[in-house]
Amino acid sequence: MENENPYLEKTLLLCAAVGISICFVSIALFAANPGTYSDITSPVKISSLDSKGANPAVIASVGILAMVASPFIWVVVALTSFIARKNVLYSFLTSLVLLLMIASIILSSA
Amino acid sequence: MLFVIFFVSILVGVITSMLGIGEGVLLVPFLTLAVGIPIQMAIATSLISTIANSSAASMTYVKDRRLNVQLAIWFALTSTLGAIIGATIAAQIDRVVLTEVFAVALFITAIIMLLQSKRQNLTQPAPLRDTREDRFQLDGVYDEFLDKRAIEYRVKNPLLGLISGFVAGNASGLLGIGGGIINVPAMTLGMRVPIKVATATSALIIGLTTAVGAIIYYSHGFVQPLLTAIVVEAVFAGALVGPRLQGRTRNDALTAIFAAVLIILASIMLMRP
Repeated sequence: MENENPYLEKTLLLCAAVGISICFVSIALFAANPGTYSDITSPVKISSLDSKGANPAVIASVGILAMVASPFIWVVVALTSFIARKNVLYSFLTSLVLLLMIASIILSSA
Repeated sequence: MLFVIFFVSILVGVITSMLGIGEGVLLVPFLTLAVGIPIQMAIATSLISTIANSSAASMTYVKDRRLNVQLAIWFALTSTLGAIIGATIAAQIDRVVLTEVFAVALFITAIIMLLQSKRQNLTQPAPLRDTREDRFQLDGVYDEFLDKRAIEYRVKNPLLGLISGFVAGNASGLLGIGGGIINVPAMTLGMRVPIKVATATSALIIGLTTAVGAIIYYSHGFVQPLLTAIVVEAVFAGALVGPRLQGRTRNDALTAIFAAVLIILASIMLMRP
């Protein structure tokens, strides 16, 4: 059966691969040097961590950020796909979804 | 303890990706009650792992044509709006009463889903009998693994999707619950979307709606990077398996599992002090 959304599938795969790979590297580093950052039951400010050398917590935070940002990329790819297919209704609706996602971040952090 | 967290998260990933619901339902109680992690950190971890679940599950669902992207956009539109309004009015609403009302509504929904499933209404997609134009381009086709054939379905009551998306988003902003438990019943009961398409489409919607909350939690410093990295990896692995299991599960069995999860969740909501 033909996949109607090949670009969305590839984007989902690519975004996940980036986030997951970086997180995996951080876990591997953590396993190799358990003393680097061992307290996993308390929150941590990323900015307060020592970024010199290979701090697994800093690397993990980069992977997590990539993961968190990926839904925004999915929406952009879906939008591009609708525009390419000249689907006016869903190009408009997808743009609105993207705008609302951005607006909600601005409103919540204000 | 890290191994326990890892294996439980794999299991959570399998279940939630099969049902198109967020990780918070199962992961937050586990991390707070069993592991002793602060609630805000547990929520942050579950939000981020929901995105991992959503991306892993959606990859398979898109490939197998079980995910209806237009329908996902349709729900995401009002869901995002609902979440903004829900979060804004959360301070002025009696959340205890609202939680109880919501839990009772979940019980009723679960029972209706079980009854309808026995009457085959949910397992049989709405037939393409009438020639009415698909104005909102929501109708679709999905590949049924069990019968090895493509099944066409027509989406009824499209406006219900907008209302349901809004309610789901609102509940997420007000009560901190994911939209999947509202969106899936609305799609199957109200819009006659086959359960496999409904759960697959919900898997993408929850990724879109939780992204906003995840960014906010991340920027406020509630994320514990290593714990989250471990949970994300485990949930991702589980969510690669869940959609394959979903494809091989009978529609009525999937409906029964979903209804059982609704009943458990409603009971937890009613018992919580």
